[in-house]
Formats: sequence, structure tokens, C-alpha cells
Amino acid sequence: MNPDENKMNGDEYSKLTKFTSIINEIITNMGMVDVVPNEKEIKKFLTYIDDNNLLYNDKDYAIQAGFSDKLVPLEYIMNLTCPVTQEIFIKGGPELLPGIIKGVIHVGSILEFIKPIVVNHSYKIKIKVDNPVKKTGSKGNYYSVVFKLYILNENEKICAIDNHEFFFKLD
Amino acid sequence: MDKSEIDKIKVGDKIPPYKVKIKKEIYKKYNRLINEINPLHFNKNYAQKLGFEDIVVAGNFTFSYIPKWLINWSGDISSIKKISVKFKNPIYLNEEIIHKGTITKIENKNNSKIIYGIYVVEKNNGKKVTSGDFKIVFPMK
Repeated sequence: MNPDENKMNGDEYSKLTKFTSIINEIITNMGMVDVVPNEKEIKKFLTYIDDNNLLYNDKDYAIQAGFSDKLVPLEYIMNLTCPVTQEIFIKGGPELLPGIIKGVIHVGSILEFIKPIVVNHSYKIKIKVDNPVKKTGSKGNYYSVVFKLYILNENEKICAIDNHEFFFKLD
Repeated sequence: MDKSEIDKIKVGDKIPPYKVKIKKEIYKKYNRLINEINPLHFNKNYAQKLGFEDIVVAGNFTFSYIPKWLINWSGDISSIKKISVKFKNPIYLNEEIIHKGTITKIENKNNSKIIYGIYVVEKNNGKKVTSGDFKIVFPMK
């Protein structure tokens, strides 16, 4: 992190350095996160958004289409990655929130879909985080931080990437 | 979408709009499903203390309709390669939103037709709540 690039004062720099240090330590300790897309939960989700695509709902149809099982809908993938970022902030405890940052809001994502993800198979989520970047808006200064969440299959090939962006304010 | 339809896609084409109502009962079930912990998404008093009118529907949930809409248009889940999403304004329970998309660029590469586009999600009053872009790849062998 470079204080000049981000045009921040010493106090801000100190808090951001602490923020980065805590987040990096949590991510290191979490390592790769195991995830198994749960067929029953996905079935419920599909009823909520009224999606009856057979690739998600009919195993035989999915297999005939060349997949090994029912597909996890693209619209469900963020539901696999969000709990991971949520866990990071929970693990940060009160020292992180509200200690260093006031609050945090998910402002957007860039999702890349590379290989199919199927239900009831094991995947791992690898986490990387960029350094926070200072931004200025109508409501004052805030910071953007992007978590890169890579969903890997059993062969450690990337199936999807969620570049998950949060804004936060310093306490 | 068959090959002849894919051939006809051109820059400036609109993706048929898609309207959705965010129903309160459905959203409550979704929150239970994902074990939502952020009170902004289930506690009206908390949301109002933060300056919002009501419970704010989580971006994860409103995002759900974007891939569904694009897949319905392309006809092929494997064609969807990238979707970006920016949550600009809150969506509240029982509001209706409409998805609108436009093709902005087309490339023909490696026996594939690559479609780039942008989209917005608006409320009935025209207020933009979400925007982003997408990349769709159709194999043309």
C-alpha cells in the first residue's frame, strides 16, 4: 500500500495498514475454503426465482447434455462466494468492525464463468484480496477493496471467479 | 437461439426486457435459505436508521435474475462468460424491476461470435438500481 498514491494522512494510513494486515491474516488462516453446492438448497432457490431450466432440475437431461450432474445455476454462484467474504468480516471481530471500519457494503461484482459447476461435487474457494483504494464521493471519502474468489474443481482448475467489491469507511 | 438467429445479432440490438417483482414472502424464504446475517436485509428499523426507506433487498438476490434473463435470451448456459454488476440504488420489497440490455460490440474470433453488451435494471419510475455489462460467446462451427 502506498500512502502517496492513495493521498491519505498518517492516521488513515495506519488504519488501512491494520485493516490489510488483519484481512490478510484471516485469509491466510482460512486457506482454501471447501464448498459443496447443495442440491436441496439449489432446488429451493430455483423455485424462489422461478427458474425451471432442465440443466439445473433434471440429472438425466444434464448428463445427456454432456455434464456430469445437474448444473449449479450461474445465478447461484454468488451464493457460494458471499458466505466466504461474510466469514472474513466475522472473523475480523469487533477489532475490525466497528474497530477500524465503520461498515461495509457489497457494491458490485465481476463474475467470470469458465467451467461448469455441478451439484453435490466438492469445490474449493481460493481467496485473494487487493489493497484498498481511496475514493471520494458526494458523501466524503471511502475505500474500495476487491476480494477475488476463485472456485476451483477437484483438479484445481478454475471454474468461476467472483471479483467481489466492497466499499467501507474508516472509523 | 439457433445459428441463423445468432448470425442476425448486430450492434445496437436490444435484449427483450425482463420484468420481475421482488415479492416479500419469497425474499424472506431466500434470507432463511442463505442464513442472511446483515440486518439491513431483514430488519426494517435497522434499515431506516441507516437512512433507507425499508428493508433493502440484497444484491445477491437481485443479481439472480440477470444470468437467468441472459440465458433465456442466448438459449445456452455455456455461452455466458462474464457478467459485471454494480449495485447503485436500493431495491425494496415488493418493488418491480425491469432489466434492459443492448448489444454494444461483436467480434468474430476462433470460430466464435463474441457478443458484448451493457444492461441496466430500473424501477417502474425509471430510477436505475443496477447496471453492468456482459460477454456472451457463441461457438459458430
